[in-house]
Amino acid sequence: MNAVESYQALYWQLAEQLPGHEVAWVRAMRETALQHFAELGFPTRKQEAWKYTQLQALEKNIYHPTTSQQQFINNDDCQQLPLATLDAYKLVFVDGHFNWILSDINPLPDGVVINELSNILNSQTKQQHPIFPLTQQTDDVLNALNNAFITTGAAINILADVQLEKPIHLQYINTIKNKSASYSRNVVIMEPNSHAQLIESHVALGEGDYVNNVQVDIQLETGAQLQHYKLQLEGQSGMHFSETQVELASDSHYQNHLFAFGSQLMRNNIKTKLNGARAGCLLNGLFISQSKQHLEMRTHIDHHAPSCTSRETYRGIANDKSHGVFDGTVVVHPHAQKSDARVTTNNLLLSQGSEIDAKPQLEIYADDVKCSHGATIGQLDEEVLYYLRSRGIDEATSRNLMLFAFANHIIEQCPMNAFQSALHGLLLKQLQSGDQLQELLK
Amino acid sequence: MSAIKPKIEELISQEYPAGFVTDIESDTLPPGLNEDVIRTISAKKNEPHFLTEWRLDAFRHWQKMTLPHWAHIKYPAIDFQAISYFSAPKKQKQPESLDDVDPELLRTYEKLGIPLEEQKLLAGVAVDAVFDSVSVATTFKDKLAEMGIIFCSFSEAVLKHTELVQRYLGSVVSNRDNFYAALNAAVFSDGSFVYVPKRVRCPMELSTYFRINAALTGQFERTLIIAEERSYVSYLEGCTAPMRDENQLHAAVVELVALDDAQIKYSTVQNWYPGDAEGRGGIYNFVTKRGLCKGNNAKISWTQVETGSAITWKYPSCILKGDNSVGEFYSVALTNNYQQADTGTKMIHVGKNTRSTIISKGISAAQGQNAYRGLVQIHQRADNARNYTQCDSLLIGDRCGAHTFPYIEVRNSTAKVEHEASTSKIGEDQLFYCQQRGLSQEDAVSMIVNGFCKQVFKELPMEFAVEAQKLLGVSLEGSVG
Repeated sequence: MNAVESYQALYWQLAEQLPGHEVAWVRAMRETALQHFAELGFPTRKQEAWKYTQLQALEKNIYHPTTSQQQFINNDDCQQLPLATLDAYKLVFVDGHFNWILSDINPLPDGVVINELSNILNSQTKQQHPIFPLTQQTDDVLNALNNAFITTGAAINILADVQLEKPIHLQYINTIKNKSASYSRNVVIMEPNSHAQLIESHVALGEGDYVNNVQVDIQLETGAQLQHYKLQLEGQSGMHFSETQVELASDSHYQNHLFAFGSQLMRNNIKTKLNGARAGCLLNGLFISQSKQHLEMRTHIDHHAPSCTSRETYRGIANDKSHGVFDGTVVVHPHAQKSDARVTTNNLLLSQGSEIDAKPQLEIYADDVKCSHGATIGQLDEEVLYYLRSRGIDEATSRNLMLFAFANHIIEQCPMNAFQSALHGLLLKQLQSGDQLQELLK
Repeated sequence: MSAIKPKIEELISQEYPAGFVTDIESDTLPPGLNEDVIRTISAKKNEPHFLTEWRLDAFRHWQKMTLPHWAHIKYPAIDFQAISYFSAPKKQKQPESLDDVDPELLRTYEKLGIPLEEQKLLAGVAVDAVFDSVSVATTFKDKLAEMGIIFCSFSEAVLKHTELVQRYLGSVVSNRDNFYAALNAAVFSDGSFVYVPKRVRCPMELSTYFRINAALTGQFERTLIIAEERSYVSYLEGCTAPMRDENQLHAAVVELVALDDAQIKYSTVQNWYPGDAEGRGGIYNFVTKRGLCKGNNAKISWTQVETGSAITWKYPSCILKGDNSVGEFYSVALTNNYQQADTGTKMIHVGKNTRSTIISKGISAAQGQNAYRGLVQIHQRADNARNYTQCDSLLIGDRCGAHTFPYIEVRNSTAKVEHEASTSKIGEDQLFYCQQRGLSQEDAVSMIVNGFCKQVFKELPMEFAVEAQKLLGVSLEGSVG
């Protein structure tokens, strides 16, 4: 039995335990996805989208979907985790299962509706739930697996004109020890002129070898605005696969701030469709990789309508034998005149044996556009280093200071102050003896 | 801007001025490809055994290969059995001087503005003119021979300098490299061969004009240039083809080998028939060009101006194997009407302190599609490698496309790689600025387009720089200025 067949067999074995197994449309949706997964199969290096990233780990071992939370955690454990103390409406998922006790969403203000996804899947409606047409089938094997095995997630609906003060925090905690996978899917619908902030954090307790497969579908209606922050701090042996699909109506604006420090293998995919005139998006990202980590960041921005703006800045620092990949595509479709797109990626290679691949791409089918991209891969500037040392700062600290400044360029673009300061702390932890830097920065 | 549009459209709708067919009896093989055809080509050219085998090996491998589809281009499937793989002007007498050359042929060159006699007088340019597939006239051979430089047709080199050919043929682009390179290796008819011995600086620009002439004849050129230690050579390649409705396939291979401290400068002006305004006809230009900086401190520089062909699909590349070697790529690619171009370069940094520069300018007009595709790869041992890449696109009209697909792969932490790309139309503020300085709108457009390409034109040898600007003018903006 090959890996694809094993996953299929696994599905039939577990079908009865997955949420919504009694609901016809849910079964149909899962089985279609499973079929699609079988057609796609596992990718090879020859496929353009998989040139730099391999999924052999998923083929070698069959990761069983988790059927329950694996390890008990109490509120105190939870409070120790990064971003836990941030003032927010908090939804906590442990090992791919929603945890009511740790979550804190009451009272929700008027105009905000949050549902847990397994509730929706289990609800005995004859018809497909209206949010599901949004969860598009893509030609991504990880997306297909997710569709087949979804267990949980949040369905968030912000009604028209609602300005949500506090952010909504989706906190994912993995305590998995054996080779298991959690599959979740979040759906966010922002009605006209609503404003909200969404935080997605992924952390691990323990050193387990697991897969965290998260899909996020976001729909912004006219004039809606969403700031989406994501922190990926998975365990050293964990794998993080994520696809975020965003559809923007006219005058809406979407921001995505990604911070990726954890996991042995990450593939983060953001697909943004600017469907309405004057819509805009800002995609920023920062990764720091160590040891043998492999972090891949993919973004795809489609300009479908005129006068849209997209801005993208990704920065990366690769250490040891780690590997970072940036693949960012901007497509300006015919009639999307007055499009303004800018993609920048700057990367630092800190040690021999590390690798960074960058692939910024532009596809332009309209003439009245302003599009550019820039990519650099290099090292810390020796002259700056010399300057700092001449001021009496030792070499290690000088280097750290420069790395901090390099990374801070992305952090300081986050409009949420509380998130910014939390990230500063996390950044210092990522740098070698970064705590010494703390003194200097005071 | 609106006032300029009709002007530009008028310009870009200009007929291809070099479209005519020369009537010369050709010795042509019937269409089709099999081992016998390859043996026949090889036999007709009295090739040594190793070459026949090399061709057959390529052919056998080619049969197992599948057509590549990754490029950003669209074209109907090519029937490789419908192509005639050999066409040579019938041998009359071996021409002793230009007077013996078929006057019909000379007239063709004259129409194109490349009179051989005049060039002989002008000196500085030795032309190995390739008319269809067999070289018929080679000038300045004597002068070059004195210095030990070999500049001859490929077939001649195979017979007279067998050892050199055997040593270097396929050493940069193997006979199994890719689909079209394998096809070329199997059926290549002729081409140019240059060998520059140690410590010799080639005193003139070497030049070849390729013309595709006989109907339904694919042309498969193979060029091999070898620069020995401390030598220097500049090679010019210019192309024009007569107007024809049938699509013609051109799958050439160019191999450059630069040894220690050697320098090769390879310049191309390509103006093959691009097809008519409806996208009918035109040349398919699928070329494999690659240079190997084999020795330390070697330098290979590619400059290309691509204005012709229905489809241009080529990536002149440099393998920087020797320490301190340098690779350069300067390109202007223009697509008009239904032309498509997917072009760029690969810079493979293997040696230490290797440097590369890529400057690519793409201009798309009407329904033209122009893609830059490039790879910069820094290998693990390539300490202190440096790359700078700049690719800019200019869009004229709202139905054209400009695309950029750069791949940057860095495996060495001392490498410095920079890439930037921009896409825009001629800015209204740029035009406004020029006009308020007293320039007419046409002058302003011309100035901006010329300025856009200047970085590349200045890399061309003098003779070519003039021709390139003229070509660009014919193809697009010439009479605006």
